[in-house]
Amino acid sequence: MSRAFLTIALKELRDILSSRYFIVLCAALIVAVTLSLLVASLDFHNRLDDYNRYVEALRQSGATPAEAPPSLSVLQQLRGSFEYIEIIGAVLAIVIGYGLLAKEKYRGTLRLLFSRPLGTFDVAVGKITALAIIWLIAVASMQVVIIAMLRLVGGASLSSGELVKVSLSMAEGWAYMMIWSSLALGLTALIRQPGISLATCFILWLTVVLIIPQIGDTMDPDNQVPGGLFKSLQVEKSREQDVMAHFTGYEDIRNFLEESSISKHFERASFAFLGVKEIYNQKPVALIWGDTWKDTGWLAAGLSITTLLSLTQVNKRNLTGKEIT
Amino acid sequence: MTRSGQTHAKSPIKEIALQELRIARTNRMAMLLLAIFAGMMLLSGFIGWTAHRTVTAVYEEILREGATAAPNPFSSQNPLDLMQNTVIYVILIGALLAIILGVHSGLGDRKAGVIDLIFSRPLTKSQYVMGKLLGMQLLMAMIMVFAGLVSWTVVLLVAGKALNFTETLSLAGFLVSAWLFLLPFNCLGLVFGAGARRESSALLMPILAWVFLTFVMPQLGTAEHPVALLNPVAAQPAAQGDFFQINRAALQPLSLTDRFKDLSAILLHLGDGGSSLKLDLLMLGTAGLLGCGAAIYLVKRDSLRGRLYE
Repeated sequence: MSRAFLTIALKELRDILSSRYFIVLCAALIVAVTLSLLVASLDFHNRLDDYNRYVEALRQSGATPAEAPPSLSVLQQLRGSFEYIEIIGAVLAIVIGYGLLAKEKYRGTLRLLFSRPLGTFDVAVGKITALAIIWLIAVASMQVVIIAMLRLVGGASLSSGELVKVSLSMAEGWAYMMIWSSLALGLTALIRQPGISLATCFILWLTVVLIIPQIGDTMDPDNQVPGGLFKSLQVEKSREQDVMAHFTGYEDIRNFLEESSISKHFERASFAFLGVKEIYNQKPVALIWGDTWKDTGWLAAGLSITTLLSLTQVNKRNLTGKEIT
Repeated sequence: MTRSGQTHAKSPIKEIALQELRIARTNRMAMLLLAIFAGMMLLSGFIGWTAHRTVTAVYEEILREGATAAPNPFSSQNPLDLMQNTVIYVILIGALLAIILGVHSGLGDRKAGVIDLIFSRPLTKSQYVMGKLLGMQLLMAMIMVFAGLVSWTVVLLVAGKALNFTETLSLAGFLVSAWLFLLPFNCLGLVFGAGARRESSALLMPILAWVFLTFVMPQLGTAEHPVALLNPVAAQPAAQGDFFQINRAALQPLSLTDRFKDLSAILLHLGDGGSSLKLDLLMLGTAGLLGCGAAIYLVKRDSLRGRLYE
């Protein structure tokens, strides 16, 4: 491989960063992420006010409250924001990955590009490098906005441990978006008609991000009754697991379904670092990593496979003659 | 040509609509999505049945262990309960199918470079758009009839008894509301397919609009997490406070997804429907009419002739 991949990467970076289209799409994602944070914070403050009023009313009547006040750690407010990265971030990643090759097909520049003295993987590596840097910039910008909003809205400055947790969650987000971008890049090279490759990516997105997790959610017995099955039956949390131990086969199938979605691995890993799942809330990074490294491993495997797809498809042999005229 | 040798000029709207139906058969992506939609319809009954059976078994286990004295919260005898997931699949898969069909319809003639040829015939732009809309709505109606047949059969297989006349009528009502819900997405796809300069934005913009309507808008009024939509049962009561109450009052009537979920709950007798049947129907009908009007007004000859980039 020659150094030509750097030239290609820099050219792609310039193209993307100067594209109003890209800026608008990223701004839309950042707005959704911020809005979600705002909504979570407002909802929490409303619930806290309600609780305080309830306690005050009880105190005046001489009783003491039995319920604990609502609690929400700083990072738990980011749950909705990460769900938007899971849904909207993946859509944007597909469009950006697709655009990198579709533009060459539409403009008929592939023949010209491959007439240059390039190594077999130069074009693929150049484009993947550009994607990696673009998503690094996007993720870093999102992190800055999120930290600023947490300070502004929640009035909280993050501790160094919390900063590490947000950074790790964002790193998972970077890998997740890279998976979708490399997949779109690889499929656009593999499929002759760019429009079909884009629609294929959206169908995959629908299946992996929404349908499979939906089936998993629906199969969860606790999701079948408003407010939760166990809560409605007034069964203690500690007994919940004992009961479900009788349904391991069913739970295994549900878990298998959920594990077949890369989005679910991203969700599990990032939610653990953010403490969305209560057992990881305020826990040290090492403990969370020990429990969730497999989810990060799945993300790494997904990224390796989609990168390999791009590397094997974005080359002269596959692309020559695939321009749209 | 008639037998008497006279030539009958077919209505241009009808001609375009028939052409639209012929082309749709060659749209591999739409056909794939249709197959997924049909597959999920079949699967949803099975998933619903498995979940029902497991919840009942969990309840009986809890009861056996003496951990509760509460009645079974899941003892509904309504066979249409099995359609709970179908509502979600219409919102997820149906909407994407409607968007892709619309985009494909708007892009098709542009990509084939036949716009000038089409408009060399005695045909106005409005007739062209109306023909496309009519063709797509016929197709969507066929899809809904097919979905109805699949759902009816699934209930028969899973619940072990056929839906009676009233229940079949409820199912039909649900499918009409699903068709109405998908109409604006179809129109949106057509507008962007006919006008966008890039194929990617033709698909992306309607999908982003759908994401906003489906995930962002409900969150602003209820504080529900974005993916809460995936669960057919509401996870928590809507948030209180001025911000949410104002948003709910202002946005919920306009939230097509909420209106459709509400209407489906009323028609299929799934828990409390929430607001009123008339309001939901009015909002979905208005959105459909506005979508058609916007498509007729916003699709321009110049943009149809415009060059298409990536």
